Amino acid sequence: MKSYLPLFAIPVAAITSPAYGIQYMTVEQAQQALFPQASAFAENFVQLNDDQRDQIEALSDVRQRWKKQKVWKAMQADQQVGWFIVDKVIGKHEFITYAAAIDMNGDVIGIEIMDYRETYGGEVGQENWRKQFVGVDLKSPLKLNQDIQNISGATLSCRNVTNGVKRLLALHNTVLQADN
Amino acid sequence: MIKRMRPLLGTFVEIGFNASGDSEMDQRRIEQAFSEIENIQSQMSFHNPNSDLSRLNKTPGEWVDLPSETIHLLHLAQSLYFESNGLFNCTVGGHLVDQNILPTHFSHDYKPIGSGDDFEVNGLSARINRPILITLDGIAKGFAVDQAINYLIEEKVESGWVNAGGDLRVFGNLEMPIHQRNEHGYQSLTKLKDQALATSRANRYADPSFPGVIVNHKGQTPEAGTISVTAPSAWIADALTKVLALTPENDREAIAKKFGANYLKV
Repeated sequence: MKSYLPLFAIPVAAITSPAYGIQYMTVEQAQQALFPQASAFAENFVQLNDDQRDQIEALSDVRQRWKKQKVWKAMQADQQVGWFIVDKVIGKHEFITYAAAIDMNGDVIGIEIMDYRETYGGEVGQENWRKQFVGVDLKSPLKLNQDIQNISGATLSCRNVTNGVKRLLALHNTVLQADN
Repeated sequence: MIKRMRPLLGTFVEIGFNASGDSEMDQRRIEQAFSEIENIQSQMSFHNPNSDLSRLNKTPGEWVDLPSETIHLLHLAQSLYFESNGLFNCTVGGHLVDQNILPTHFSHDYKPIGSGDDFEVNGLSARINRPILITLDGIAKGFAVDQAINYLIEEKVESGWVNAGGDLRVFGNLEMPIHQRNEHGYQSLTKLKDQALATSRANRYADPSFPGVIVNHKGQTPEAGTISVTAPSAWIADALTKVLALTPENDREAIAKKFGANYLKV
């Protein structure tokens, strides 16, 4: 008897857990919705060093987990009118990609959820849930139950996104504002 | 179909409707439908120390001028208190603050729980007569959904829906299959057409991912479980989930019927 059999049981349990997900907007659609007046978006991806990440955490009380943040300058002719930032948050039950628009004064203009995924159920361990997203981008979604069109359930908190926006404002403060 | 989601009302709000073919008009409708919801949030948030509701809570004994939507909801909450024999009680704010479930912005002493007699509404003003704290959290989310739906109907949008973290309403020629998220995962629940549906869960323990809490007039939590209700409007569906959570299983169907609603047994 070979010894690989017990290992086989673990991924099966993860695959059978149902998940729900919707893509609401692409990057281009979110840019257009949040900055309708902009004529162009200049890619300005930010690479953060450890000091900057610590500073962001000190300002926002939220850990800046990744070193790279996808940022664009929203341009109206030659004039910058704001910042467009794509961010993601992973909670116990939800995985969310969203866009935030920040104006030149550092105020949030708006937030749009671009991609929303959730899973819930006693059999889904938090580790398995998180593992599904290793290397995931919008084009490689996890296995979704396409039959689930809309969900009613106990109210899921949006605190993860609220904290994410707090973090982005701190990033704006420490890095983006200093750049300009 | 146009579908958008934004973080609002402490949860995720999805709005969807038939595209008109005119993308500028569609965008305007999205913005306005979301701003109907933001309007309710800014008036009735317990968490926001500057909301209209917080102004009322901070000044017991004084008449406070309020926007018509807040006045309307206070009326609804009060009449529901009496019609449900006190099971729906919006004066439990003090208890929830003491439990650290709601934040405190209050320097005065307050009672943990009061009754529907402890405040009155007159014209566009309201007054708290005993120092209680009103929370409209058990009803405002549904009401916000109704406001956005009413706007879309006024705009003559053919069909659509609003889902505020489980409080949802569908209108027009659209039949929408709904799943319930509960402790077992996702289960097929019902098909909604021109109807509202709300789901609440009674928890035995605090869960920060699902922050809602249901308590009775003594501050006790009911038996754990997930309860879904359909009704003609979202505010009554939202409110009735709390009433039914505090009602024995065998009586739930009859109580729901009394309010023109339906208790969905899973």
